[in-house]
Amino acid sequence: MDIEFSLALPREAIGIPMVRRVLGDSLRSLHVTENCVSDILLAVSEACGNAVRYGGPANRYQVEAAIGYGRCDVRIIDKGRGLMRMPERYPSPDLENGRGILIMRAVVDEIFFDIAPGQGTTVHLSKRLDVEEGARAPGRRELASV
Amino acid sequence: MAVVGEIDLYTAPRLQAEFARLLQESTTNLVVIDMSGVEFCDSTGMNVLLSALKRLRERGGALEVAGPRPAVRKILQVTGLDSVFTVHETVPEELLTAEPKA
Repeated sequence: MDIEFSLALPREAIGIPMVRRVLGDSLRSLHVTENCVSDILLAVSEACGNAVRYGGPANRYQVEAAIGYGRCDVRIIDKGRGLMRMPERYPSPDLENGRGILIMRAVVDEIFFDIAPGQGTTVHLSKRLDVEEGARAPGRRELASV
Repeated sequence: MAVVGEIDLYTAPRLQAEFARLLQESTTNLVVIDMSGVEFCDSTGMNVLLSALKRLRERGGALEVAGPRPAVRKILQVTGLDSVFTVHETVPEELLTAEPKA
């Protein structure tokens, strides 16, 4: 099965749980394992959090997801100033910030940043999907009643 | 202290405020957080825990995490923070004191 969707969101934190709902429900309907789902949701939340915090002055940002062919690709697109700092290693425990990008790197297979200074940042996250054993065939969900 | 729900950029300020209240109202220097009801936590949640840990250490104390689900254990692991907080697999029952929700 091949699913694509795109969400245009206000640049506010309240939209981040909504992105997780839509993406999480889509992946779970396709019998993706819970570990794989939670890795993707973690990375996407981190990227959305960055878009909300640093994607100003624009007041919206966009999330585009494509699920299919055993992969999940998510693009988080903001129209901010495009000034994302790339940390090389995890900050010391004294520091409370700077972990988001490293967490993303740790839980997805591929990550690309397209940073256009003054015009915005696109983060592209890609992960191979692990599917529950015995649930390979799509459409196995049953109707509640007929 | 038990936290229930999802911790992210949206809910973290509430958790932060709850910690601030707890640390102001009480002189305790050991806080154990029951995270068994936390379905999701990202770096903003970790940041709240770290700032609480810092405050508690200033008092010579510590912050411990109990009962994390796999998703929470994963973020503790990838950030290396599982070696900064003491992580209990299960919740030590005698330590439960309050139950604010996030």
